[in-house]
Parts: sequence; structure tokens; C-alpha cells
Amino acid sequence: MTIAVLRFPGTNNENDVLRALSMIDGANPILVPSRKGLAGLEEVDAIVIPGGFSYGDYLRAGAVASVETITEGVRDLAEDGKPVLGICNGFQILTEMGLLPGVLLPNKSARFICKWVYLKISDHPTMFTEGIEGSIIRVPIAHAEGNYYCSEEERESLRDELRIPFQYCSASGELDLAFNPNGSLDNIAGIINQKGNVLGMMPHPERASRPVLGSSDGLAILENFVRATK
Amino acid sequence: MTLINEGKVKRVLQDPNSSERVIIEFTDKVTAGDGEKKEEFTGKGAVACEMSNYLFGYLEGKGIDTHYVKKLTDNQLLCKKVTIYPVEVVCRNKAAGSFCRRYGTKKGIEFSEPLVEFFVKDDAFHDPLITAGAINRLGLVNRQDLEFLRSVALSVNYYLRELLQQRKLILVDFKLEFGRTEKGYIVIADEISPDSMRIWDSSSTSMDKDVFREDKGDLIATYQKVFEEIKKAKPQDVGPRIERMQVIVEPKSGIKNPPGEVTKKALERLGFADVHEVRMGKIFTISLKRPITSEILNQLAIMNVKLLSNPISENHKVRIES
Amino acid sequence: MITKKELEHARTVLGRELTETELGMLDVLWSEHCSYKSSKRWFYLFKTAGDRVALGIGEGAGLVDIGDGYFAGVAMESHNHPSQIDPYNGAATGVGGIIRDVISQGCKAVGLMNCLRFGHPSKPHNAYLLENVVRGISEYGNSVGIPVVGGELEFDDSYDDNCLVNVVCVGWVKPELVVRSSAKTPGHYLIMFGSTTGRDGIAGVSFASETFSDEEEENRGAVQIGDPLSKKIVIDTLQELIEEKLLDGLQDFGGGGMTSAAGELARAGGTGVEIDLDKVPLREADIKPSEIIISESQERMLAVVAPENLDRVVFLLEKNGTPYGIIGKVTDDGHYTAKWCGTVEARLPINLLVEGFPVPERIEGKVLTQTESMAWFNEPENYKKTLLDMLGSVNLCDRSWVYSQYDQHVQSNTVVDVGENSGVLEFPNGRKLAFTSDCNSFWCLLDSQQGTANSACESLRNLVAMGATPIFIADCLNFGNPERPESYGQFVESVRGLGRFSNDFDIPIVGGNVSLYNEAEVDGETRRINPTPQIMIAGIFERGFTPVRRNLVSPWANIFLIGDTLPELNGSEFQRVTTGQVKGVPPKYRPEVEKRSMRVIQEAHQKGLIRSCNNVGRGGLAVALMKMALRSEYGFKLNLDYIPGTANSLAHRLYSETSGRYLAEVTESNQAAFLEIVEEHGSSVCELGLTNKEPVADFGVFSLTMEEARQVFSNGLNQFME
Repeated sequence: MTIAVLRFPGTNNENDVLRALSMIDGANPILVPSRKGLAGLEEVDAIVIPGGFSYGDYLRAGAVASVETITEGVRDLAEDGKPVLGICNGFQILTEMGLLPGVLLPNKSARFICKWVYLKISDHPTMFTEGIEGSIIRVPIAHAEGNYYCSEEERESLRDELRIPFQYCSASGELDLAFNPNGSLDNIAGIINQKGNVLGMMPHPERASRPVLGSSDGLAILENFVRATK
Repeated sequence: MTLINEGKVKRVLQDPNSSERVIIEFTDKVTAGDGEKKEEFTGKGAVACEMSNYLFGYLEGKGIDTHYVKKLTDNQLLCKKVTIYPVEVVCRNKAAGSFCRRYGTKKGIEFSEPLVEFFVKDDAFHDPLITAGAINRLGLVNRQDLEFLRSVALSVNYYLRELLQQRKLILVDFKLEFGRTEKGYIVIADEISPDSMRIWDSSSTSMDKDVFREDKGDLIATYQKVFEEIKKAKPQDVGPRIERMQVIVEPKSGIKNPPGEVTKKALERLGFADVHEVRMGKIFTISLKRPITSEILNQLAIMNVKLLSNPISENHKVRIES
Repeated sequence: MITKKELEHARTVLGRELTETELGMLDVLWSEHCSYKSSKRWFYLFKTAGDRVALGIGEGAGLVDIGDGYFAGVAMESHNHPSQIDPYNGAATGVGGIIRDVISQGCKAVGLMNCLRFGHPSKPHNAYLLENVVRGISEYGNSVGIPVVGGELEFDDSYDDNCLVNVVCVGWVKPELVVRSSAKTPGHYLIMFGSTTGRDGIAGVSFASETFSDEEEENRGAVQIGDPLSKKIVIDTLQELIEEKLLDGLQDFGGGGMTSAAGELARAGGTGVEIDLDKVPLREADIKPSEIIISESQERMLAVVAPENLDRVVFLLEKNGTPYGIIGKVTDDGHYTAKWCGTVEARLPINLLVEGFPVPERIEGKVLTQTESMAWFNEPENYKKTLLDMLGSVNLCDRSWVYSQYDQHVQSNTVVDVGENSGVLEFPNGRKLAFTSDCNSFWCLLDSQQGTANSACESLRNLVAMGATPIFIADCLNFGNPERPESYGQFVESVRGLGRFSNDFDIPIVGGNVSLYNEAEVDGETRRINPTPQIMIAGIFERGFTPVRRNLVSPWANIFLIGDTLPELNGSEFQRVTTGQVKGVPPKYRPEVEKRSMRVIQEAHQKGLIRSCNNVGRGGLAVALMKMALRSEYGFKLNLDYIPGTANSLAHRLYSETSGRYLAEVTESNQAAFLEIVEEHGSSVCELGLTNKEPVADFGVFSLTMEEARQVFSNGLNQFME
């Protein structure tokens, strides 16, 4: 089984993701440059779209990457129910593609923000949060456009269908605007699609995958992702 | 063949072979002063038809959409069937004709840049001059289309002027009519001939219908002479003109725009006026090395929602640079 | 601008008039920025050799052996003048340039630092510069994917018209893959790749070697525009070329553009170069050869490639979609020959071009002596207010507004984030390295030599406090106009100070930069920056050692002060905050005392006796201790009556900036062992007090809540930037 880690021109977290996945038994991650197109995704069982500045974020974060041919392959795989994980710029690309609803707007401060945050994991089980439902984890964020927004309709669907696995919170799990680093609607840090196999999240689980880095809370999410791929 | 329209000097007939085609027939008549002065010269129709044939072909070669399909007979052109726009578009490089009468300007004054004017097609009111604003309020042509008509006129102005310049001929002004094909594309319709343009030679002598209007010479001989000259010019030596479209992308009202908010606070800190709101957007200036056509604008509309803007949170509008 | 004397000299050597292109080439290479003509002669004072030094000063980056078959690489540069004119692009391209220096040695770039100086942010123009410099660095560094691991930010009126942007890049390389910046073999090809060449930054170095006049707007053309996306592609491409060992030599296009890049390669190799300017991939069609040769368009590299490797190199460049041009060859004629479509536009002897300038006379002016007078001093009436004022001072307060805009974690090697005493990265051999940079420009203003040496000590203490052993230094020396004796005097004294430090502590200086002419004419008056020798020191940890942070971690632990405190308030932040200016003799550099306390802390760390540790520097003991408590859950209770040293009043004890001191949090069970070590090394020590679960800072005579302190501390800079 193979997990494809995509790289667009300007992606810069692919090695961090490969390294974190390589620590997990049976993951078998491979790097797939986007220029390989659909051929690059043959025989792939899951996809990770890592963070970075695909195409420099020059037009709009994730916009140019989202119309590259290889994304058709991502769409096919997602429709097949295979696991797809978009981290940071990856999340932006998934929303531009329409695989996840809503859009990531510029942060409320209109500045890039890098800091450690706490996330409250929803009680409701999802493919990616098995075993850690309801817990509070500490992971870093690093983005300039992480302000999640969607229409009232979409917002209701997300809530009713329990598709918000991650929300920004305090160290003790309080969901308050004071702990929202970027102005995201309802403190949303990550969402899943209706099928439950596509996750987009702004924080970086791969950067919280080894204790020496300050936290290994992100590892569980990646482990669940790998397990779901098998 | 069914007659669709009888004009002062041309007739529009339905093409029996295709419902999407018409035949434009050039009669030997010539009129001036809104039909006041009338004459008929043998061979005039053929010359006017042949010149339209040549010039439409030339403009099509440069990438400008027209209704022209091909020449059928000496005085007939096969053209696409269009719904004619209710306004005529005039482009002037120098003051002449009705412009001088309107403002008392001396004939021949060079304009610093080409002037585009619109006239309503209305016999009863003698095709009066009309402003873009009035066109919009009267619902004659929508804003977007009018901008396009203006840009095509300027494009045609460039390509005709450059061609004529090779033979030391001056393009003083010209009139275009436009139509909309069944597919919705906007194309140049009617004719392009000395009936609808003013061309002067290097000594400012008229080589167009003015010789008839002002009784200055032999119409047919003049038309033939100017056509001979034009045919000597080399279309391939007229280089492409750079044309620009701008796509302006703005955040939708109601959507939070942090960059705009931060800018507003910064302006306030610097003591700038009482600002109500600031919203920050983007402008894409897309240059083409060829004329802009309806097709291109349609494709741009797709690009606007697919790539250049995010319809969830942004609005966009297109401006054609003139 | 090339001087008359220099022009005469060139004419004499060549025996003819110069062409327009040649003139441009000499103008850039003989500028201060490229030639170091005023500063080079003093570098002999530095300690530059060492066991670990694999490649010292001279090429793009310094390389130091960190064991297990790895070298650490470092480069440090300034981009001051462009940032004053166009802060966003000036800072961004400063980062771009320093990354290029490191990767052109074959290294993988893994960390960035930036040291910034501006006038007070209450003036809108300074806030504007700060905001945009930070944004430029952030957008560039974050896009390229290199984390920021440290930096410094200082404010003073002297920087109003001359902001400073000094940048550092660190990386690593395996010894067998190091690429040298020399063209050794005639017949080898010269290939440039990266970005196309335009008119950016034409004569940027010439511009950097002049002071500002009131005609700022004209200078805008001299600024370069960076493109991080292209840079990322260059980095990835270069990685492939280096791994396959396809490059015989490499130089990046920095200051002086192609003139400098090819010129330096030839000089290092003792060869010559012949270049066809018409083979250069261009961005603008009508650019002249004299412009191409000095253009400073960003993201370009110059490679020396042996003929047998040419095809493979071209293949890789095309695969990555990188613009490139095979622009010439290495020759054996010792000349720089530039041709345009067959016509020779320039032909200069390499020896003349690179360093052939007539050495300018420089006069070391006498530096103003300061007094020991304390006439300005008044014991504070309200100690609490004074401390809050100190914590809120722009030179001491929280800087998270700045560094939260930098990605600190990309590449997943960051062990300690910005905000501690040093940033720490894990290197591929499993060793952790710490990086810190300091300069107290106020100390340097009052005594350039002592101030420089003492600033270096502050960096040293930052590393030692975490448990690292210092291993190399890089520096960026920012001074005024060397043609003015006073400025030149400050510069030379500073070099003496840094030289002394490097020799006293046996730490080699492996890289650096000099930025002179940081002066401006404003309304007929000359405004010169404080002498600002920015010093960066890197340290290495023992395997398996967890870096010690500076946040208090246990209740009822002892807080020890190591080192004695003298009444040294002249030149201190306390003096600046309470009187608005600095004057007098600043704290003295005391290498022996410094070494003693260093050894105490080092040994205590080795034995795991210290829970948290901080160095005492700017702001004195009070501020150093507050910083330990501010991000912890604790407070403390002190008794300051019996501190070793001759500081005689409370304010002296709290705010004196005497060197050689540390604060250490030591739990009761380790106290005895700790005191033994102190005694063994002959340092002085005293127990200031205990940590406390209650979040109150109790100094005995006065106290304040941590809440109040945090408020003021976090608002100090933010209040000007929101």
C-alpha cells in the first residue's frame, strides 16, 4: 500500500510529512511531484497534500495548484472513499477544489501567524480522530490565510453532520474567541467531507510528531490516517 | 430571395441556403445629408462591395470578428445573420464632418487620441449623437457590450490607420455598425468602404464620399484610386496591437476583509480623513498581442470563476482598456 | 562612486581609458561593500583559525566541523540601505541573499536569524519600516521554507534615518559535497542559472556605499525585488546538482552581480574568465551589456562545470524549468573579458578588478572619553513603577509581535523556538546547535571596544545558560562613514574588542560582513548610527543533553545569582529609560570573571543541577529574573540585602549591567552540589530567594503581580504596531 505525498512548485513541507509518516509502521509514503499528473497517482491508496506556498500563494492560496491536472486524480481517489489529508496549504487546495466546503481567508490580523495552539477534538468519532475523541492536543500553526469561512447553510451542515473534528481552544479546552488565532468561523481548525474520508486542517500534526520538537500530539492523527489506508 | 431590409444604398436579403446567413447587396446609389442628396453611378456598388470585401478580409486576418463570410457576386457579400445593435460607433482621428458642425471646430484638427462617439440608429431623429450614459439608461446596449464596441472601434482604428499610413493615406474617421450572431458573438456588421470612412491623401484631399457630399470630384474614380493605393499596402507589415483586459477582484460585501481593516486602522493612525471602510482587492491586467473578441471574453468569464476569483468570497468585474 | 584617485590608478594600470562597462565594473567591485577597502586591514585582529574550522572567512559561508561527518555552515550579511528605501523588498532580498551565500557552498539551509534596528516606533515612519521589514522577511523566509530561529530588535533615535537589517543563515553540508567558490581549471564552462536578468538593483552596492541624502525617491531603482518561489526552485535544483557532484565551483550573484560573481571565482582560482553577455537569459529586451554585467537581479547562481558534466547539468536545469545560459569559459589569461555579440566590452586584469584598488587612507579619530560620573542618578521613589517602565521599554519588552510572523517550525528540526535565550535546531547527525545574536549599541556608543567585547559576552552567556558550548562566531559590523575619523575610530575600536573576545575565549570568527556609511545628512546635520557590531555565536550541546530554558519550573526552588554586581549603571537601559539618554563609562569587559562564571554554569549543567537559567544582561538582574517568571506559572520572593559586589543601592543592584553574571534555578536537593562547583571555580554567588507558587514578584522592598508585569511586557511593542 502506498501513500502519495504531493509536491507542487512552492510546497515546502513535503519532507516534514514524509519524515513523520516514515516513523509509522507500514506507511510507505512516496513523494509525487505534481508535474507527474494522473500517472503519479496510479496504484496510490491515500494522499497527503502538505503545507507550503504552492505557486508562491501569489494568486490566492491554493488556487493555482487546485486546477493542476493531478488534482483530478485526487478527486477520483476521494470519490472512491480513500483517505485524503490536506494540511495547511493542502487544506486551502482542497477547498479551492471544492472537495471541502468553504474558503480560507486572510487571518484576522492580516498577518502570518506562527504559534503553538491547543485543539479540542470533537467527541464524535471520525476516521482521523479514532482513539483521541474529546481530547485536547497541542500542535503548531503557521499560516497567513487560515481564517475559515463558509455560508450559513454549509455551517449548519458541518455542525449537524458532526464534521468539525478540530477547534481552537484554551489549554483546558475552552472554546472562546480569545483562543482563536485567526478569526475562523466557530474556531474551526479542521473539517471533513460528508463521506468522512477527506480531512483538511490548518495546524501541522507532522510538526508535533516527536517529543524533541515540543509535542508528539499530532502523531495519533497521522497514525489513524495510515491505519485507515490499509 | 426574401428582402429583409432595404437601406438607402444597400439591401439585406435572406440567404436561401442557410437561415444563419444573409446576402448584402450593394446598389449603385449614393446618398448624403441623411438621404437629402441622391445619385446613382454605374459601378459604384461593385467598388463599394469589393472594398468591403477586401477590408473585412484584412480585419478578419488580424483577428477581429466581423459578419463577413465571402464575396458572392460583383456586388454581393455573403454574411452571417446578426441582430443589429441600435447604435453606430464612430471613431475620429481628426475633426471633420458633423463634429465640426457641432462645435464649430476647424476641419482637420488632429486629436491627441482617437475619439469614439455613439449615434442612435433612428431615421426619425436623424441618427443623433448619444452619450454612453444615455445608451445605458435607455437600455439600448448594456455597459459591458458598449465597452467592447468601443474597444473594437479603437482596434479597427489602429489596424486601418497603420495600413493606410503605408501609402501615406490618412484615416480621418470611420463608422462601424455591430451585430450579434445567433451564438451571441458580437461582430462588425454593415460595410467598410469610402461611404463609411474619411480618407485623405497627404495634401488633405478627400478620397471618400466627401467628394460627392461637397461636389469635389468623380466619385467612382476617387473610390477606385484610393482602393488601388490601399491594395498596394502590405497587411503583413502591420504589427499586432497589444490589447488589455482588466479583471478586478473584490471581496464580497459582508465578508470580513482583514487586510482592508488593517489598512483602515493604519490610515486613521496617519491622520487621514474620516474613513468609513476600506476593502482590499486585486487587479489582474491581462495583455493580449491580438484583438479582443467575444470568444475571448467568454473564456475570460470562465477563468474568472475557475481561477482568478473565488466565487464564495469574491466578486469580479471586467474592464477593457481603451 | 568610484573616486578620482581610483580612476587615475585604473587608467595608469591599464594604460588607456576605461570603457563604459569597465567603469561600471570597477564602480561596483571597488565599492566599500564589495571590496572592504576600509575594513579589511584590521581583520588580522580576529581569531579565525580553530580545530573545527573547515573553511574560514573568505568564501560565501564559513564551515565548521560538528562531528559525525557533518559541517555546519554560516553566513551573515547586511541589507541596510535598500531596507531604508523599500523595507519590504530590501529585507526580503536580504534574506534571499544570505540563503544564497550558504547554499552556494553546498549547504542545505536550515535556519535564519534577523537582527533589526530602527528609530523609536512611536514615530509612524519607524513603525512603517519595522512592519514592512518584518513582513518582507516573513513572506520570503516562510515561502522558501526555512525557519527563523533567532534574532534581535533594538530601537534608538540614531537609527531614524538608517535602519539596520542584518541577516544570518545557517546550514549543514557533508564534507565530501562542499563546493568551493573558485574557478580552478581553464576550459571549464561557466553556466548561470536561476532567474532572468533585468535592471534590478543596478549599482546596489555602490548605493550601499554612500550615505543617504534628501533625494530618497531617486534611490528606488537601486532596490532588488525578490521571488521566493524561484528561490525554492533554485535551491531544489542546486541540491540535485550538488548531490551528483556536477559542480566544480559555485558562486552566487550577490552584490556586484556578474562582475563580482565571476571575478571572485577567477581570483580564487588564479585564472581568468571570458563571458558572452548576449548568452545571459534576459528579462528585459533592451538592456545594455554595461547594465547586464552589474545587474543585481535576484535568485541567480554561477556554476563552473567541467565539459564532461555539461550535458547532465543542462538536463537537470531544463527538467526543473530553471532559466539558464552557458555564458562563458574559464581562461588562463588572468583577465575578466566580457563580450557582447563578439565585441569586447570590457577586459580587465583580475588582479586589478578584485582588490586592485589603491588602498584609501583612513584616519582613526580619537574617541570621546566618557566619565564615571553618576551625577544624573537618582534612586527611584517608586520602585514598582520603575520596574514596570523597564519591562515595557521597547528595548526589553516582549517581541512576539515580530517573531510570531515567522515560521519557526518548518523542516521539523526546531527544538527550542524563538523567545528563549537561543534558538536550537537539531542537525542531521543528531547534535543540537544553539544560535543567538546580540549587540548592545548603547554600550558600544560609549566605548566601542568594551561595548563590543561585552556584547559578545552577552551572546556567550545566552548559549552557556542553555547548556551549550560556544563553537563559532559570525559578525556584521555596522558603522558610519569611514572617511570621517570619528566613525572610523569607532569601527577600529570595535574590531579590537571583537578580536580580543575571540582570542580570550578561543572561539573562531568564521564569517561576517561590514556595512559602513550608515549615516545620513538631515537638514545639514550628520546623523550617524550607534556603533552596532552585531555578533552571532553558535553553540553545540553534548549528545542527549536537553537544552535548559529560562522559565521557572518548580516552586520552592532556590534562585542563585552567580557573579558579583558592581555599580555599573552608566550606559544601562535603566539610565536610558529614566533619563532619556546614555552617557558615562559603560560596564567593563572582564574576561577572567566571565570565564569563571561560564565554567560554573557549564559544569552545573553537565551534572544536571540547574532547572532553569538566564543570563544577566541588558536591564540588569531585575529584568533577567522577571523574564524567567513571566512565562512560567510562578513568582518569587527575594532578599536583596546581601548581594556580592560593590553595588550599594537597591537600584544599582536591580539594574546594573555588570558582565559575567547568571541566574540559576536550583532545587533544594541540588543546592549543595551546586555551591561546591561555584567555590571550586572561584566565582561569587548568593541566594536571592525562592520561587513561589503565588504569581507575585516580591523584591522585598516592593512587589508587583505577574499579571501587571505581563500586561506591560506584552504591550511594550504592540501598542505602536496595532
